Amino acid sequence: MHVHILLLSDEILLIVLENLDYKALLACQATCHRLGIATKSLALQYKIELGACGMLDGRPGLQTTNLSQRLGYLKEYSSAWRQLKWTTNIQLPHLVGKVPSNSNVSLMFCPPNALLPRVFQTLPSKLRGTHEAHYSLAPQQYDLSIKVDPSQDLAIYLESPLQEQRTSCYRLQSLSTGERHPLAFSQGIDGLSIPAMYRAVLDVRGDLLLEQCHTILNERFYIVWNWMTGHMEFKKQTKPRNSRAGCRFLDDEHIILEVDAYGDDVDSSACLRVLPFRGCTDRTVGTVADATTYLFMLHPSMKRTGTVPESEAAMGPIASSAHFYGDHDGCLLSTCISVATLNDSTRDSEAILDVPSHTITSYMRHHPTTKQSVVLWDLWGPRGTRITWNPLSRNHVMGSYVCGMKRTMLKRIGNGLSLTVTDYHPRRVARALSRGDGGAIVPESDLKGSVCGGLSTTLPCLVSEKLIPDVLDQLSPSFTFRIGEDGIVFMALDVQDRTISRAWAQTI
Amino acid sequence: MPTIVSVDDSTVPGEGSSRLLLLVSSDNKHIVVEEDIMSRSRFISKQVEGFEATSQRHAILLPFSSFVLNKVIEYCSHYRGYYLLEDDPDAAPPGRSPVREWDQEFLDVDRNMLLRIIKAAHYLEIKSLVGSCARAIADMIRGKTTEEMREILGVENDFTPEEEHSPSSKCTG
Repeated sequence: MHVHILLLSDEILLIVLENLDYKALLACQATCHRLGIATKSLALQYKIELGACGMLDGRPGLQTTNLSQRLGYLKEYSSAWRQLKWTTNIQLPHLVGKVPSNSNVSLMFCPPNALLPRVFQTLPSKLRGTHEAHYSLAPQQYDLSIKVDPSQDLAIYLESPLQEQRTSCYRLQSLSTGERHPLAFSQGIDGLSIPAMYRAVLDVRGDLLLEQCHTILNERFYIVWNWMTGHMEFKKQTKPRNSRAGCRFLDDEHIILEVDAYGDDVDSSACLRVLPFRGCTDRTVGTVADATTYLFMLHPSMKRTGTVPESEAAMGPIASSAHFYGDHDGCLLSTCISVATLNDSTRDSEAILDVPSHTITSYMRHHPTTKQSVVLWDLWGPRGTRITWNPLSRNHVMGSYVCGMKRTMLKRIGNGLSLTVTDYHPRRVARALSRGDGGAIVPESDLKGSVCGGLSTTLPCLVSEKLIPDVLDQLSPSFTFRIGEDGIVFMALDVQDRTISRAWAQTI
Repeated sequence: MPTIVSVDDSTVPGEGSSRLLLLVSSDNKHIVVEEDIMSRSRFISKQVEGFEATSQRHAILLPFSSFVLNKVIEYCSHYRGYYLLEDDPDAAPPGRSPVREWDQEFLDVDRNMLLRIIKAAHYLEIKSLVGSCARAIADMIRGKTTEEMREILGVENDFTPEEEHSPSSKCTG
């Protein structure tokens, strides 16, 4: 007997679809009427909207709203971003120091003097069910690295005692109250001591903790640790001298390492490496051993594949740096590459590349034995990669943030600031096309290949752009800001005494 | 509802803790299996409770082939005596069905067979097997484009050319 998937009952079909992420659900929706209708259930619609907004569900038990209300809030939130409807300014405390970590709902101010308290500020959000609040913690430790995960109400620190900085230990704190996190009591990670390294970077994804440490020498190591199962994976690598490096989870099976080198090591300069790990999940993917894949060999490859205009390629850039942004779900990887020239800043330039990250992971799955390979740009496109080239504009893009199918970018326009929101969600783009619903439609021909969060599509994207007038008079070399999922935090810093002379947030 | 036929008690000599059940597949194959093995199936458990109320033993007719039924029995035999959260009617359902390595090998079958197993598991109310099958089907299409999904699932594009070129009608909601 032959059974066809379309002959399965709605109930079974729904159970199957619940196993898909929002990108796959959106692709599935466009296959045929039957599967299109099956994805219209409230639970799946919520999953799609949540993922497309780059969000995760909040803490269980804290949600006082039902699924239908939350879906309504999500739609309002998306609409507010598209139309750039801001809240009025939320004034933040005037503090000394910097903001080493911020999530969408909470900010942490760390004073330069370790003896002063840390201040946590929570921003109000109807969608997230949070209210404006702040609290402070008296310092006892020196922070090496901090990562927050609002979905678990978790702030995780790697810190050293003030008197003894040769060892460091983890501390898990509730983001909303500042007290010890419930996980701290049961998982054996809280208080665990490890030798202090030169610099450490943390990332958290569900039960997985990623820690990358650099020594001052040419080496670094990273650990992926599943604190629920206790499984730990350790890997040591060499790194280019004088390089900076970041790391984060790309998805449940891959981590991404960023190397940002300045001239010292041409072969490794400004590249992103994606590494699979196994053991921390039950599923085995690819090969872990030495499967270092050089995904981005940035500027030289770009020139060879002709993606950079010839006039720019002839400039002969002597240094490059790269920075990448990605959302929770690893949907869209956005990379900003700055190209500088010696003694002639007018010839500086930058390119911004948006690559659907599933393209990267699927490449790795299909090349499991690859030990090291250089992937040229033309292999990514034209289906996936979109390149925006900004000649003469080093520092033109002041900040960018990618979450879900939305990309937010703050750019310097003349003496002012402009916020651009690009929405790749196919349904919203389609609706805007049919109803003229906020934002400008950018034709596909202008995009040099469109990206819809990893979906192959012929749809254009939706671009909203707005000048931010309130900020114009604050522009100064000491001005700083953070873009997050819920808005922007602006801060004017007094260079003299490193005091934040004015700070405010505008949220959606 | 399954058709229930009376059977001779001597055909099913189950007594005590390991009673036997007679399952009859749609191709009329009679399969005797220990009740204990099939206790993971809520459907079978309810049937057995019904037998106890009427003090009569029955064969249970099932609307799928012996090939599929044997696969399900193999699954239930493997997990005999194991506690699986998804099959506990009193436990809160887990958010995502967990990946079990044995299940992945067990379900390494063609698409048609996978769909037949999930239908049977759903009929028999074996939630853990339904979850594993659903995950296996989802794994087949995850990360694929719409066109690739159509090919894998054997689905025809039934949108009209107008719907195809007018995304608003296809993507409403």
